[in-house]
Amino acid sequence: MADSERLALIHAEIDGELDGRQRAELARALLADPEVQALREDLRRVCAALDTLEDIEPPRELRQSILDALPQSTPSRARSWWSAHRRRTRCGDNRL
Amino acid sequence: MTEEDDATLVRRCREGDRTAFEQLVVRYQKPVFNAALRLLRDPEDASDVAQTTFLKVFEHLAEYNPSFKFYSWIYRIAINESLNALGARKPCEGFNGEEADAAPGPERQLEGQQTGRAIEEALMGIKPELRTVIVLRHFMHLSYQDMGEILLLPEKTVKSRLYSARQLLRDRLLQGGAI
Repeated sequence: MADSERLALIHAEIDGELDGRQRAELARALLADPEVQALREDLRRVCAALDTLEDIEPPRELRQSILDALPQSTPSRARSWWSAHRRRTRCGDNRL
Repeated sequence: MTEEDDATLVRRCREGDRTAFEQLVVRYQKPVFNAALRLLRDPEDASDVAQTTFLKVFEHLAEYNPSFKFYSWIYRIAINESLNALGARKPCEGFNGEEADAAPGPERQLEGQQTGRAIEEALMGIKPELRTVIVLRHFMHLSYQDMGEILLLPEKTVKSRLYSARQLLRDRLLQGGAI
């Protein structure tokens, strides 16, 4: 099994995405190669560390400042497809 | 009273009901703020991004296609606004680490605080597009499919970025002795 396949199995295990066959493949790879074991442990520690970062409450005034910033008029319902498309690109839909 | 789903709130917003929009703000201000905070590591910038995100949602609500998940749409706007804010930073301008570290509150234990700081620093050390997938997966707990919808990328690419991001974080955290 190629390194990239073993890596993919480790990540998929972390994400809870392994099926039975893949689980068996990973188990074999772990038994056969201590480096794979070490990498798996490292990546599990990274993910556990990420999970230690808790969500933070936004500032109390944020909600009101959002509402205060809204324009008075309600967005109009009907727009042409082209207008919507142009606005969508401005909205950054295609950026990533 | 049962909580109305996003689609109902969006429909009410489109009909001019501002209280429905307020409910969307209440529902999404925390995840939007946190996504921006993890990408920018600056609470003030994250608040600005949250405000701009909701303003754009309000202004473009008529264009939102209800056959897609509302949260995918709002998170996409939030991520793009965060990346825009990052892009607007001057090269020498870092992040406000002091404020970000103070934000979680006094309950955090010292060890956790050190690990947290190391992770935040490691996160800020990787490319924004890799940081984004970590944020979506580990802090917003989204599926590969949702991440693909938000980033407009195939799932395969999402996975590839996620794996690369984790491995880079691993290298950085190992170097710093944090794991």
